[in-house]
Amino acid sequence: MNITKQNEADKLVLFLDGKLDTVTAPQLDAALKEAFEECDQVEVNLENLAYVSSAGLRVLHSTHKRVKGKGTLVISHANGTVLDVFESTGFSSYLNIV
Amino acid sequence: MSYQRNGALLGSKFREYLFPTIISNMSILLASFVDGIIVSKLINDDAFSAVNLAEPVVLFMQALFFLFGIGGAICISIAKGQRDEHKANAVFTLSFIAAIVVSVIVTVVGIVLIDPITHLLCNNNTLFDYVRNYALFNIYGAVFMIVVPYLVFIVRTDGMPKLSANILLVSNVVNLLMDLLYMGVFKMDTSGAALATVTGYVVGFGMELYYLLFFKKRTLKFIKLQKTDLRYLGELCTGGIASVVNTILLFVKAILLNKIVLGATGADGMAVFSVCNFTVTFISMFVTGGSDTMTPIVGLLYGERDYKGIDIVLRKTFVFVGASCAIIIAAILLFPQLLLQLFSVTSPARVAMGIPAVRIFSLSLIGMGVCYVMMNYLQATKQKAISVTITFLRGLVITVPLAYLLAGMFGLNGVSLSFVLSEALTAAISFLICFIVYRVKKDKYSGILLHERQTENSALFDASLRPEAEQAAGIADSIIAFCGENGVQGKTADYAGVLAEEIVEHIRYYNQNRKQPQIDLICRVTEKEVILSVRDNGEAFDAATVDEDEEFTNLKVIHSLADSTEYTRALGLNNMLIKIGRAPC
Repeated sequence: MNITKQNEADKLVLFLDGKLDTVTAPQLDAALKEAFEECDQVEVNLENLAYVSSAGLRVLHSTHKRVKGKGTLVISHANGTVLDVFESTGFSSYLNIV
Repeated sequence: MSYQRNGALLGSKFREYLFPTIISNMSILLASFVDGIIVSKLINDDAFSAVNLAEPVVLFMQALFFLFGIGGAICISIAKGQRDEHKANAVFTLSFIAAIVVSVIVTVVGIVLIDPITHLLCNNNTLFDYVRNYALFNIYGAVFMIVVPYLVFIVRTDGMPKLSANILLVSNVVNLLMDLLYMGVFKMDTSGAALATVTGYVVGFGMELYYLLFFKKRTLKFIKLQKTDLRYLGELCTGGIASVVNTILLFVKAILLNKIVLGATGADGMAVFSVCNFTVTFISMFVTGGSDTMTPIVGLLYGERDYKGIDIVLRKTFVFVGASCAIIIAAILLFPQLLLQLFSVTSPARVAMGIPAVRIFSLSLIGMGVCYVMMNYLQATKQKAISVTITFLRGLVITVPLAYLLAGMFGLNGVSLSFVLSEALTAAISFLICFIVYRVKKDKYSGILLHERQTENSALFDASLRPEAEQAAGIADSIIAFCGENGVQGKTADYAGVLAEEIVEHIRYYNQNRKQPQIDLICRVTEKEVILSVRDNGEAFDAATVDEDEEFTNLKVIHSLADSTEYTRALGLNNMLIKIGRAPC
């Protein structure tokens, strides 16, 4: 999975490309930790994410809980199966998905 | 990354079952062997003869516990493979009740008819009381003599091969110790020998009570039977029919062959033939050990329709049985005199007669191994008719007439040759029958091993992997690609990939800090759904209960994404079935 970082106005956007699975989830975890050190508003753009498993969900969920009150985590452009997984697992009710 | 299916998981299961199964067989055979020596030493030779004459009573009970034990074990394994827990528990309950009821009937009828039974077994006045007492005390303990070994088969099928072996081991050790007490100290006659056997089994029953009442790992449960459950009774009673017939025919064959050998070669020939018989008894520990190891595993795989798995287990069984037979044959061919000496066959005339006879006889062991494995394999895959046919051919139909014919022509060598030809012919005929059945019912079976063709159009992907993160992620890619190759794309294929990753990850997390299990994963794409069948030899887990406190656990996600999940624990293996309906294109 490739993670590209981009500063946009008052937020930092992480573009994910590829698969978010048990192997790549730690990579996202590290990227999110680093991002929140730089900025308290982080958006994760999933437009090019083809696959997500529970390992990815747990990273996003734990980050959301960790920054709650101190910052904002937004998930954007989730589509296809990734969005289906979010909905089927009830993940969409936990996070800001736009 | 390659995930080619290998024999690691099933091989380790085979090895786990093999040693305890051989120990079980060994303990029974050695106990009966040493039992005989103790009876002849502590009482006299007449008592030893009486014990042999009363053997049909013991064999009758053996046939009954085979009927319920092997039949029950096969039905339960297949039901577990089909993830039909209700049927597995119903068969367990039915077989337990049947074993108890039948053994009580045997006890009552046996006590009432003890004199006619004894007359049937023995027409010698000197031996009459010895035979009667031995038979009667065995009949007194029929409940234990039947129920304990019956339950041993069930315990083994329930994933506890070591416990089942220990039950038999302890029972037989107690039997031998009690022999010394009853006949040596209390000066009992043959009734002491029978009482010692029963006492041993009473102790074994105590261990089984512990399994039934307190054993947490027990997966089989007693259930309240419905009327509809009685339909399993037929399946139960015919499941192990080949083993029952084999037990009866072994006895009939022994009587007939003894008469043929005695008539054709006299006492000298009989002494050598006894050595041949012992060789069969010895090799049986390994041949039946290998075959009995295979039976519940093949039954489970047959229920799951995992034919590649069946091939793996069957191959391992043939390798083990073949190697055991080859070692024994080589030893006999190289050192026949040593074998004869072991049984005090030392006179020059007998040695001269014995050396070629045991050498020829040893060659029959390979055929015997093949026949035994095929009989058990066909029994476990519900090909009862062919299995019983093999039993009849080698047990009576070919061996006895051939022995009669060849004994007249070549003496004892002819009898040995009859075994070689009979076993080889039976093995050839069994494969021929399988081939004919396959050719006639080509639409139903694929290949000579009579694997049933898939009834629905389905594509199959199977893999073996270790519980590692890289493998979990990699298998998801393979599953998605396989689905794509078979016309399943988009959400269904992706879900199948995610579910494969989740279950492998669940197994990995669940066995952290424990011995890492092996995993076999099978994916089937049918017209209506994608089915993931995952088997591992790790710790048992409760697949139905998800941890409400933790978010997005592997099991939670599996339950969220799958249309249905089924779990069963069989033979110490976790078996998870996950189904996803194919989304309309």
